[in-house]
Amino acid sequence: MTMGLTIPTEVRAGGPDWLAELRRQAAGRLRETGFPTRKTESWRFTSVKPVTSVPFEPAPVDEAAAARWAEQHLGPDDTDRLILVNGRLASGPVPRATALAWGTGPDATGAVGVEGVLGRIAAAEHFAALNAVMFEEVLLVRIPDGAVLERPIHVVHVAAPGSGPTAAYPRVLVLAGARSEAKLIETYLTAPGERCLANAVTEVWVGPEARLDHTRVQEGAESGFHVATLAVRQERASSYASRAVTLGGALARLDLGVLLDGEGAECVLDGVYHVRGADHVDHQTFIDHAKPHCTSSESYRGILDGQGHAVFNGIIVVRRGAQRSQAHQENRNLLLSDDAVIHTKPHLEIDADDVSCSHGATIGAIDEDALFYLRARAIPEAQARDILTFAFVHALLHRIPHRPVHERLAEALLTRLPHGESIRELV
Amino acid sequence: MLLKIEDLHVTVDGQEILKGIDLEVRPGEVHAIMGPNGSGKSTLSHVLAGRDGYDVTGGKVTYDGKDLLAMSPEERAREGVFLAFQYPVEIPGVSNVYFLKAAVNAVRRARGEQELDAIEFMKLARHKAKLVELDDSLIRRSVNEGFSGGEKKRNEIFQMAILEPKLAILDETDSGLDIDALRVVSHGVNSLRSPERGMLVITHYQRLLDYIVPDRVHVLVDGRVVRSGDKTLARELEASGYAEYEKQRAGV
Repeated sequence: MTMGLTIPTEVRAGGPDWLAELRRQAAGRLRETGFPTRKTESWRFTSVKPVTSVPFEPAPVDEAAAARWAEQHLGPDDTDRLILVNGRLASGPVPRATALAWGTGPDATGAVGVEGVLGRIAAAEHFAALNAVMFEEVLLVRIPDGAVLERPIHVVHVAAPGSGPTAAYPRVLVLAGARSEAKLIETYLTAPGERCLANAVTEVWVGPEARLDHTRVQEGAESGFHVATLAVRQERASSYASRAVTLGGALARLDLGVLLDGEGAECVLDGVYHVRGADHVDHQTFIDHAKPHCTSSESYRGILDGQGHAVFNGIIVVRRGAQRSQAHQENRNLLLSDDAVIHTKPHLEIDADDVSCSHGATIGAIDEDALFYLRARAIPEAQARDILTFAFVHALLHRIPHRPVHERLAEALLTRLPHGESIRELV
Repeated sequence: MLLKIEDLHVTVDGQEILKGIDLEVRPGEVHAIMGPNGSGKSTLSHVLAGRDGYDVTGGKVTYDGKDLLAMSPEERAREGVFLAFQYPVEIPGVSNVYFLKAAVNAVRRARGEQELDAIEFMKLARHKAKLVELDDSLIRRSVNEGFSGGEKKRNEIFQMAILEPKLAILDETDSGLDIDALRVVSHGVNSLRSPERGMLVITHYQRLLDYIVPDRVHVLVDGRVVRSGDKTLARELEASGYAEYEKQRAGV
């Protein structure tokens, strides 16, 4: 028998009956399908062996120390910050007069509106099913109807290693009430040490006419394995923006699905990824235009260096009857090394006739005209390359609405570029 | 001698574009290089600035006593060579101000001068921006991003004013400019004329030379300088065009 990540035979006890049933169903589904293989269409370019061959297990860790490490790593950013260590709430602000409320474990699963939503937005497939079986706590972020939050909510997930390969199953449910407006940031970090697997699921419900801007950051580490699902359901005339920033990682996979489930809903999906060394990053996005008059705009840009490997698989489906759908999808890649690899596949499926859709993908090198322009202004070639690399994704980073976060991410990207230090004051 | 080009031969993709150019520019002189499309004008400016993709198959270029062709583009820039681009490149995400501050400090370091801090640089930038009537908001924007054709060209001259080169090469700076923008740009260039600075003004049209009056005019046809003269030569060309020279070259 091989040692590795095992499919649980028993589901975690506790919580309401419906939760136990949810877990049983997920476990059953997972036993049926097993973990995906390279023959599974959406996993063709990402081998799960690095994950499933390691006996990742939940382990006791010093949560306070891990939370302190994260605080220090991130610095202040003018948000209402909550820190989860291996999926458990380790520190967070006391709710102020803001309309924000949250809870974990039984508190959250017992809260009004959770039953029938939790586990219903994210399909229990593969790793999302494993999460459903294994998660200990649910972080519920509820934005009441009509609430307008001035301060962004920042949920920081720390994968902290125990004495051996450590697994964490963070689970978040976001309920953005009707006509509410909020900014949410989720940051996934891997604390230094032994190998960690973060198998995360975030479900987001965007109520009628609600507006939610959701930045999702994954900062990779050579020891960090990250397999995540972000599933969003949008109601009528709601507006949702996802800003996915993935900076490397031994294996970082995001399955992002948005269901436009009410007329007049609109979503923006921005993505930035950077791979170098032996990083492997995989983004799978699925936008489902289920109702008429919805708009989606997706723009992912990747920087590929070293022997890095990235996958972008973007699917947009326009269902029958979803007339007046507008969908635009773009994936652009900057290839800096002969050894880096990108698999990109933008994909449209349209079953309605009155729609406006476009998609495209590009893979290119540094623009020689721009490089020469910078060098002709006395900027050394190596720096000029980094400047243009940074500039390639800058506009997308700039769209992250909360300035301290976008500045920190710009900084984090700079430190990953070969001569990032020397161009800091330029960008 | 500031710039000495001797029997310069250049090929691009195996095709000879420059077929033996000789040219000497002394400090303080403004030389105009005129010629029809495809005569090699832009190739000459690119080779002098160090762009990749050109094979120098013969001849040499001496700049300020040094072998210019042995230097990288950034070295040339640090040593005081400036190319005002015909098509300035847009660089989203890089602010004009920071980009130029890095450029000017690279040049100052090479000259053994103290680097400018942010406040000193902004003072200099505001002063120089007036020269070409460049709006303050433009110097803070991303390099050339969303600039009109005229704004891009003014930005080039603004950069030149800040970098204070010893040798300025203006590659078709007049192209795409209306008469008002042409006046502004020319005024900027003229105010940068100095006894220490040499300029090569490359243009298809005589129009620019009404504003930037050259000391010498060279006619470039099919990769060779077919005639040189003083400023009156430009006038003559305006009347006769290049056809006569092209016929001669074709041996008609």
